[in-house]
Amino acid sequence: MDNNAKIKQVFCQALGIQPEQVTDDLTYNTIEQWDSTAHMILVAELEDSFDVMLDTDDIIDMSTVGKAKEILAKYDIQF
Amino acid sequence: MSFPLFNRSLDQFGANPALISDADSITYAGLQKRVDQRINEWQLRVGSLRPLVILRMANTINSVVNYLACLQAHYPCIVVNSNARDEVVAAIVQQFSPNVLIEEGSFRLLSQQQLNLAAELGILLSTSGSTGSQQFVALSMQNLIANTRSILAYLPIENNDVTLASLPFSYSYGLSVLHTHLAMGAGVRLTDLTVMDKGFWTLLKEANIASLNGVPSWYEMLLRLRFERKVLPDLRYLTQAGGKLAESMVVKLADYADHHNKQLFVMYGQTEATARMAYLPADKVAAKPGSIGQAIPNGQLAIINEVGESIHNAREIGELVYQGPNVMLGYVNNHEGLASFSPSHTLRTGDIGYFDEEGDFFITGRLKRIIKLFGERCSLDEVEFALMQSGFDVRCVGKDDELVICCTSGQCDAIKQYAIQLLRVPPKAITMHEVKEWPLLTNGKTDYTALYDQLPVNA
Repeated sequence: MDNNAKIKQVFCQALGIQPEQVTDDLTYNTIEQWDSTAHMILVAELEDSFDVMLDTDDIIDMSTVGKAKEILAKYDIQF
Repeated sequence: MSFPLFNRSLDQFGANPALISDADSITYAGLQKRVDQRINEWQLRVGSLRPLVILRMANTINSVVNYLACLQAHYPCIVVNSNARDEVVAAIVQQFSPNVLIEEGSFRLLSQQQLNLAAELGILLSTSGSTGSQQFVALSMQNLIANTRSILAYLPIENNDVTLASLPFSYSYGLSVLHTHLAMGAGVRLTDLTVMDKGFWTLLKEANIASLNGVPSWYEMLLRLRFERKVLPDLRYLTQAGGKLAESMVVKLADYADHHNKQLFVMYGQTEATARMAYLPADKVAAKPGSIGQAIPNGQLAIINEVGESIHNAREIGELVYQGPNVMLGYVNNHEGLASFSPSHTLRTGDIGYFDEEGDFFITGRLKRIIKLFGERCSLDEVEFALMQSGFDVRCVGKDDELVICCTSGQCDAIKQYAIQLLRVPPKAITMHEVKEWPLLTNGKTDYTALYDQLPVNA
């Protein structure tokens, strides 16, 4: 599975949303499924799936799907 | 004027910073002056009346001035969170007929009629933040003083400390943090920032924060946000209360404390005991991460069996009973109940547990159907009752911090929306479960255990 498909799957699973909802613009706190509690689940699943360890700023800055890709890119995950 | 809570004036701490907000700060001398001014303003409005106040309280300087003015003027006040819905406040007004509604800079006279208020009555706190009204805990000034003293006897609060007020002051734990720091002349940093804001982490680093106080869900968030990697030289200790934090998390925090030369205090309490009943000394937390320790100074904890007799054997399970000068005056539901109290100084906590060979207590469950939603006590029976009153056929179950609403009607979405509004919680806090029929006990009552057991594992 390529990384784009993988990140889509993680968002779907962690937030309980449909694949078509996962666009780069999807933003934290704009849908009820992506609140602070869900964000923590999302972060844990991203870390597991991509085998990275994010730091506080990464977690707080991860406010859109696009941002998540940018942050993961810092850890050599290519999209 | 001497300040009743601490038997002396706030003035004695003079130029020490008392409250620090994002935009403003106030010294102890300044705070005492504003409290005196506020009482003068109020007295012009109420005259010789001893009013019952309903106080909508936020974590702001203005709210703290209002609260301290109520204490000093000896006005009993019902403390309500500033974000409580207007309907909830209206229901409390119906229940208690308070004379005055105070919020930040506003003062609304509702009635001039002198209610029959017991001389010892200090404040009234809600036991369930989520469903609003119903039952309140009446506390005396003596309760507040006694609990403040007990806490100061074990927490290392110093005169030049600043703590971060991350808990609402309308909540007994948050209020105890305020009381203990004011009594020591220490500072309280107010903020609207949450752990999900970058500013929160900057504040931790740069505002000389000496202590943090939080409920389990808050510490879980802190740990998920890599709190344990932060270098915070000013931070000396952490306190945790408001429910049971998972042992694995206690261990993580204890490790952090150990490696960074800090202390972790796991504590136990209830609003019915003003706030605090027990604490685990910081040096025991590594060895006994699941324990609540022993009673606070001046208090006593015991375990009783079904017939109310004291259990003297270690590890034998029964109900935790607390005795001390911080046990409430009593529960009240209306203003008639405020006229007189016959406090017993003994509190049946409704928690089930045991003590070990060294006398350290452990909690294993609860007698009543009560869970914690975002740190606020939430009675499953009350939620169920409120939803049934609104015409929904539901049964509520749950454990720890999980609320599951079961229904038979296929109205899951509508009920969930309604419950979110009613309880003011994020959608994630509520899980819906549809069943064909209610499992029943032989006496015809709902079998809640069976209902809980049939939930999908990760409901």
